[in-house]
Amino acid sequence: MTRTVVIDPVTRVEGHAKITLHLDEAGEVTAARFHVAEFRGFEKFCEGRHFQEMPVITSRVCGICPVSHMLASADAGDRILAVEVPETARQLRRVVNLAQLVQSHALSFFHLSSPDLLFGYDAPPERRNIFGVAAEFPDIARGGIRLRQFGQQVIETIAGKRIHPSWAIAGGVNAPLSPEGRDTILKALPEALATVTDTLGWFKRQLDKHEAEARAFGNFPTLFLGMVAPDGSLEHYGGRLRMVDATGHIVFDQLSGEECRARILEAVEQWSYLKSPYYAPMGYPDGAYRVGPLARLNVATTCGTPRADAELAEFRQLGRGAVLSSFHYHYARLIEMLYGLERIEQLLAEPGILGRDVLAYASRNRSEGLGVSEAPRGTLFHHYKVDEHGLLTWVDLLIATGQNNLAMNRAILQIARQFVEGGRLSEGILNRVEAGIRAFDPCLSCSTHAAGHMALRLQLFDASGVLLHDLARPA
Amino acid sequence: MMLVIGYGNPLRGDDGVGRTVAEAVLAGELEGCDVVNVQALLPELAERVARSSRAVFVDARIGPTPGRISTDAIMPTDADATWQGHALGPGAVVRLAGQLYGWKGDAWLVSIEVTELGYGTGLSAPVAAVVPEAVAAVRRLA
Repeated sequence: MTRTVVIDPVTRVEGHAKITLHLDEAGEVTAARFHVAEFRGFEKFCEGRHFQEMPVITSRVCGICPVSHMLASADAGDRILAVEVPETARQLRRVVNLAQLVQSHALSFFHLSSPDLLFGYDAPPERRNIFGVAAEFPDIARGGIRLRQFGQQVIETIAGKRIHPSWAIAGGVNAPLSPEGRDTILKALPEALATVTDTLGWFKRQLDKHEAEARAFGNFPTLFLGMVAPDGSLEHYGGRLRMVDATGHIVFDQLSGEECRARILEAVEQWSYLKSPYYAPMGYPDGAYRVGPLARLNVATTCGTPRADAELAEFRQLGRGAVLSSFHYHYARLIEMLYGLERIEQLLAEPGILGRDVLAYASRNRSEGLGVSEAPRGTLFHHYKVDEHGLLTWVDLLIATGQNNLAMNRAILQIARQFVEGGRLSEGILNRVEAGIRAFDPCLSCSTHAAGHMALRLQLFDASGVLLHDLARPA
Repeated sequence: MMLVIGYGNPLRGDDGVGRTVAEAVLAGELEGCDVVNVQALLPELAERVARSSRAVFVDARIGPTPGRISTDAIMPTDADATWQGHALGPGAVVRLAGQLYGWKGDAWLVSIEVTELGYGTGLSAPVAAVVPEAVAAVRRLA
């Protein structure tokens, strides 16, 4: 008798989802699916709005990475205006994007995933949560809070609001940085750098303990996509796109957003609102690729900052070519935070960063624009078409979490096959399956334009579809 | 020092009443009082709470009598242990303040009963009418 196991809701991720595991007569896992059950529909209801409203509207897609949506949208708007954005505005956009990356990665690592890393996947759920971390590892919990505060403070200082700022607009930004604001940020940097450095050291010392998870949590070859600078170093805004394969070999390099997007198609599965993008030349599903911190470190030649480059060299010892295990998204997240802080310091030291010329003025000069930013979870595309008045006639948002969909499904299948034996379930198995998803730090509210927060359920069905086991947690 | 935390979503009608009340407290320049206005409660607030001697949370509460005001003590709780990254309850923030920063102050929730939580800005008439009374409730805790 075959069975299906359902995890509903998936916890400690952004959005609502469930996981089903399908077992054969022998209790072996034959299939695993990550079902995303929310829908928001920004692509549709934005039609008819003016493109210059889009940075504000689409920043509402997410409370965690509003800056990424704002920047990708403003970038698309820049192209519709067909203007050259002032250099100061471009650099300030970079700083704000990196600040958001730091606060979002801190949320993922410290608040959502550290309970698993600190207590282990078999620890009781009442201990394996943020309060458990606060009780037993207060330094780590405080570090997460301070890093989040740092990122939010930078965003507020430059963009005016911590969440949903309306600062980046088509043509540039609507306010320059004051000398006082720059000094405030620079003053806070050393503590943030020390926190990340200490946490990286601690995490590396823990790696041996998580060897089983590193082997099984989405450890397989795929392609990797991310943004790089002209010299191939790590970039999160204003760069070009590079894809590498599992051996680290470059598949394409220095493509524009339009050129890259043209190589990506989206498959749709009936059991999820989350689309399944793939690299078209390799077909579906062989063209599966990953985005986000792991992918960015795999595609970049260097980080381009000294301390992060030293960490990257060590990180690369984990793989021959690309680092393949999705468990190492955690590690990559920490290195990216270090890079982000170093890069913010570099950018703020540039003499032009306090420039007052931050906005280029123009009207609609093109009927189409595609903008790109590297969101914390991966490459983000906003593609708009407008009529002669600048009103949107078509909107396409390709979100990071969607681009990881195929890999996330493969990851939970791999984990289930590794840890579910003879159809037996336990809380530890449930949490490992969830943690496999959590490593990607998915944001389902972003990727489906859906409302609410994520919850997950694990169900076990027999071959005839009869529900045999149902593990659920409240949202 | 007393910290007043108004929270809620002002784009969902009466859900924004906590923030309206907190803004009014701020405008009234209550001595020895700091005010924070946020969309939702997050762990970061624990540090801010820990710098106060008393924390007063102000929020909307669904109930049958729009405009009814309650003042209740908040006890630390881990009821939000499955926190997803969006919002905590006030008891969880208080608990984190104690766990992480050794906070020993007291915490209160001033809540205003509401019924209108649809899309849109602005408070319903019965809720808007009691904002001064809610401000007075907060000031009595100072």
